[in-house]
Amino acid sequence: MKRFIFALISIIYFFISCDTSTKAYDNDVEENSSLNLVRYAENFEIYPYKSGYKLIIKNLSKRNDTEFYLFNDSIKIPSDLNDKIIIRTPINSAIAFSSTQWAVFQKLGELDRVKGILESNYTKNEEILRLVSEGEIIDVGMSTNVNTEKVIHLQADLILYTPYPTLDFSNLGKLSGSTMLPFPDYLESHPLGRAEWMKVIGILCGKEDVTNKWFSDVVNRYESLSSICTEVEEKPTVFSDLPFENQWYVPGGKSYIAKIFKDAGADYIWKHNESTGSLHIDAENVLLNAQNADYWRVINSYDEPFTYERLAKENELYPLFKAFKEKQLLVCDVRECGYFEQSQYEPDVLLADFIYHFHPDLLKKEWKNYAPKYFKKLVK
Amino acid sequence: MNHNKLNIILLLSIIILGVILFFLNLFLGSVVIPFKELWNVILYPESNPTISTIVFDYRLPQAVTALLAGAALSVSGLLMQTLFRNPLADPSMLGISSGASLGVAVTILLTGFLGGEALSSFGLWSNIGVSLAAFLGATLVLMLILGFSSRVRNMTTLIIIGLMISYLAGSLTDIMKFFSVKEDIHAFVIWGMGSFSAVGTSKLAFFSIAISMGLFASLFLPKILNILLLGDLYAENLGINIKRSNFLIILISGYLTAIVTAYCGPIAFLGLAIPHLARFIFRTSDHRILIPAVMLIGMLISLLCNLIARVPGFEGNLPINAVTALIGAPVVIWIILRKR
Repeated sequence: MKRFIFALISIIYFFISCDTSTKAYDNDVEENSSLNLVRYAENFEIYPYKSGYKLIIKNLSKRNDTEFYLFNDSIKIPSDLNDKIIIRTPINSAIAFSSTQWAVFQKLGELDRVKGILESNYTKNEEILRLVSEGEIIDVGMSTNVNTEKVIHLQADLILYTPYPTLDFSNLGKLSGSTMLPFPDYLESHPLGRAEWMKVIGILCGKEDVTNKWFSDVVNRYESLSSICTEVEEKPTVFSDLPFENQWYVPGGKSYIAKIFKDAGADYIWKHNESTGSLHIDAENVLLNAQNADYWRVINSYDEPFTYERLAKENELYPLFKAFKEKQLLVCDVRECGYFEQSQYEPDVLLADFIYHFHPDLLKKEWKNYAPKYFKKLVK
Repeated sequence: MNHNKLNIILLLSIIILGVILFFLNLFLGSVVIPFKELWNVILYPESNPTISTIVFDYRLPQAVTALLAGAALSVSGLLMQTLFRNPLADPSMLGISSGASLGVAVTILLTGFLGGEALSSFGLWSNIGVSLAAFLGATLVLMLILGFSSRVRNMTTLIIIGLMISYLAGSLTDIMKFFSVKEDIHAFVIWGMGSFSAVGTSKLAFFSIAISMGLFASLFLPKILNILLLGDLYAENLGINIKRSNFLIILISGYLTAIVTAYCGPIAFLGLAIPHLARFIFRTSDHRILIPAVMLIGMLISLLCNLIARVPGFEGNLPINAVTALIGAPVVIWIILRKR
């Protein structure tokens, strides 16, 4: 009896493990890194390939990367690429899972190529909301619960998705027949690396010249701004974020935000931490380390009026912080400024915002009359 | 004779209703497909490849999964209720679903922190797979329970052990949740809400065979179950080896629960409610009738739940667990009141 059960269970294990086959991509081709058109981003590479491009997206596991070959519609596809993933540009139709993807289409004036998006109820972007209500763009659900039927029905050329280790979209690609293009922009820890992802959308729309120009302008502005802060001696201290259900998640010391703080001439409280993601820190430790910080960066996504009074009611720890007492909260109202969709392509503007608060006297020349776009000081 | 006739009529009407619901499951969904178009695609799948994909590669496997999972959970629930002589027993009672949840928590949540990164770049998820993790967790608990079942004679003791294992697994899961990032917790919560769509065409064959084996095995149990209803002493006097039959019942029930939970998430309520519904409709406690009855009613209700979960108008699919209890709970209350 027992032997029978063990045999049965091992058969089941065998079958279940067969389901989760992994694809291996051949990675034999040595890339000449000098030809890589990507400068700051670490999770994708672009190489000129014959008369098109070869796009390599790094896999989350860092082991097997995914290669795409992109060619303009008018070009004949080289014969040696038979078994490769080929994308014809400009693409006709795409589903964009993340707002950071459709934001570039919108900036390029190419929103008519976007046929589906996720979570349209989270955006305040008027054009997107209008297109969704007119049925030009279909809302296909949430990233954790995508409406498969609608995705199949859209028959898009391409599905741009954000790969999280816990979400598996492979079945969606198989069923819809669309090419699945992972877009792990959130993994970039350099602000310019995140912005550089605009180049991918640029090529997809056949407008790489435009995005290349935009990106080099962003780089120039970012570098000139950060260079004015390198010499500052008095660095204000800063910490970030409100707790969620009393759990404090703050940006890691090597994260995107930590880098912007550093470039804006500030001392981030957790700058010595090595994480590029977020840190889970208990309230005691936040108090211990950040109680005397000069500034407090906060992202507000609530509809209600955001005031010191309301915050003090929400959590009795808040008034204990120096930044709170001295009214030095730097708040971004995501509903108002489109923070989540646009700010990653404007790291220069984010940087200017923080320099404006941390070292107002350093903003000179064309920045002289600068008014912050995303982060504004909470006055009341 | 008359009673038998009535039973056959009842079973037949359940089958007919089931067939209708099965077709409705193919017909209704968030993409509106006119009936003519559906009929056309059923006859000539090549006529519209997009619609054909939606119907045959998405809705059909989902309907079959719902059918089989409903039958499996209902049988499993009936076995538990008879074994423990407790009307509140259900497949989750022995901690098997909590074991599955723990397995999934380990893959979804723990992979998040190895290496100290909140949302790490480990691809362990894709390599191991949720189903395997859930199945591992569930079998681990099943093995433990089977081990205990051959030691303890008293079924109440076994229930308490099952509940304790459940709490243990639950608290380990909570600890992991506490330290995880939002996206991972969300993915875990969504898994916990249950879904019939995760099986898909590629895994459907295996899922069907595995469930059918368990259901088939349960068809050999009615005699033992009927005798068990009389009490352990009677059963022993009638020559039943109590320990061995308990072992067998727990094995079949746990096996069915483990497979369903591995693929569809912990689906609550069906296992508890369907046996009551079957006893009420067929007015019997004879397992020769009850086992096929719970299978068919389980299929029927599960198809109905899947249909409601996908009613046009909702963005995405409603979680199955929300729907099962939503329509199940009032039914159970109604039955209990009618009985008195």
